[in-house]
Amino acid sequence: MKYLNTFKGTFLRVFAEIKRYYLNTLSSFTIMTIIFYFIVMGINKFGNPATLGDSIQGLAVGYIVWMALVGTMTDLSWTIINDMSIGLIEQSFISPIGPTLIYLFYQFSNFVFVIPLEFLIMIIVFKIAGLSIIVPPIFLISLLLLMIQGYGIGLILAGITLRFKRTQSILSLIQFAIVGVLMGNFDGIWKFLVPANGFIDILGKIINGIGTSVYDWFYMLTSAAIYMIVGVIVFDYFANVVRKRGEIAQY
Amino acid sequence: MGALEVENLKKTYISKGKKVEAVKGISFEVNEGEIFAILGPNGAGKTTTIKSILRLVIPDEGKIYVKGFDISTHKAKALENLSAVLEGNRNIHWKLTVYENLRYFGYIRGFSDKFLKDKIPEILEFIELKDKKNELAGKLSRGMQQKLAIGIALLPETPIILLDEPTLGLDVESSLKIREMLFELKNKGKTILLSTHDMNLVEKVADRVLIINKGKIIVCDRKENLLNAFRKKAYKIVFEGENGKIDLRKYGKFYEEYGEKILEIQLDDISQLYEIMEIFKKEHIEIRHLENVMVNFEEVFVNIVRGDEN
Repeated sequence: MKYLNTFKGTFLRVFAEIKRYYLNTLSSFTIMTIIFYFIVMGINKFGNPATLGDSIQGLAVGYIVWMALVGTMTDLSWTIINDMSIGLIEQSFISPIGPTLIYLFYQFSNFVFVIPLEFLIMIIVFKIAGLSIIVPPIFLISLLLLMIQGYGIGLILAGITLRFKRTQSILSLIQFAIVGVLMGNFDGIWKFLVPANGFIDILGKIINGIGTSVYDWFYMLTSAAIYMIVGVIVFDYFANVVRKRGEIAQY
Repeated sequence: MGALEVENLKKTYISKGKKVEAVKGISFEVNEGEIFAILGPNGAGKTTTIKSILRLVIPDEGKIYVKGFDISTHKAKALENLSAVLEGNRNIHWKLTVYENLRYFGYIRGFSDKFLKDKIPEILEFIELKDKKNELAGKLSRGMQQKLAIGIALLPETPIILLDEPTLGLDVESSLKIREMLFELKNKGKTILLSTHDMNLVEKVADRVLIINKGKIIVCDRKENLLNAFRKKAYKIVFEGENGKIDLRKYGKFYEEYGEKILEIQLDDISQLYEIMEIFKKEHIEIRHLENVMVNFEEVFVNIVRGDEN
């Protein structure tokens, strides 16, 4: 029960922050949509969609994946940076629940609020791309699994932020690095290890009506679970490192 | 068994490639229901000690027991008995209201809706922020923010509360209010561990005092004992007229104030006072007033730390 209460606390915190700074949320939403609109306009005007994908459709899926990953991977690190600078982080460490679970719950709370927004942007992006806005439920489930993978990576990055403090430049770079990762096509073990690699392929297949295989589901579930478990372990590890170094509060 | 026991605490940090021994084997015990103050100059090891108790820092050696629970092996159980107000503004969420702050910090310790619904109004009343409950914490005055931080620490109803510099940067009125709060908490049976530079606060509220310097304990005793140790050896002599050929400066601090001549002396032995009296008698100096100087805690602290330095 106490864990549910902790989740409620982080959920209400996220809600209060979004409500209080709704303009920030709204502008992020608008910018994300406008960027895609201009990309599509550019491709239509100068024609060569091959530079970013095989088609506008591929581009739309890639854009949704990119957007889902950028937010999920970097959001917790920004929160940690904020909590370190305003001094909130120590109170999470003093709680008997512990910082790993508190920040994991914070991630899930964020997830609850980000999902509807993410889907809304997806509908607009698909509309701009001229795709059907009625997507099969398995597309949404796959997207959710991708976001869970992103949150796992987010915990790893947050752990690194906890230890090395000023990681803003890395976090900014990551949004561009993801583009590179999304454009690559890896096989074998790398398909599991490189974030989001297999997801693009699977989401593309779903949109094209090909559907998914058992192997696809195995990939998505294991890859999301592995990243989440590794994320928790790494975050917990760095939480102990900063305790040993006496550097929780230093920023 | 004390509410809090610290045994042979040691912590070394690596700073710019150099080893810095912050705490060098500190041991002490805080009794149930007392206000225990940790004092020391900057860099003495106070904050490392407080943070080790809260497990914000993992010590290299030593044991810490909170209500009998070893914090290194039973962290959650130990932390259930502890809450803290850390130095500065490091305790509240500036973008949440007073009420939201109390609710958030209550929830992240695992408390239920029902508990918080009953407890928050009580805390708001105690910290006198009932009227400000819907104001953003970031917009409150420094004194009110500190009251809120104390409110957050009180919410979990832990038997032990750690306060690191609770009056730092506060105006006189707010400091007095915090002092009153500490008395009220003591009356409620709370055990309070206080780290501060505010000697006035220590003098007024502390039961026992631990003075540390360079990571080591210099003294740990009841406040009254420390004050008495210095009080009996300090005297102030007020007199009139010429002091003739005697150079009073060699006996102590000599100065004039509002037309009166004053000699303040610190004695190793009371017989020295009689010797000075003899000199005054011989020189026909008329003493108007003689008093045993009430040393304040600041002087006690400075003397003890200087004694250690020397």
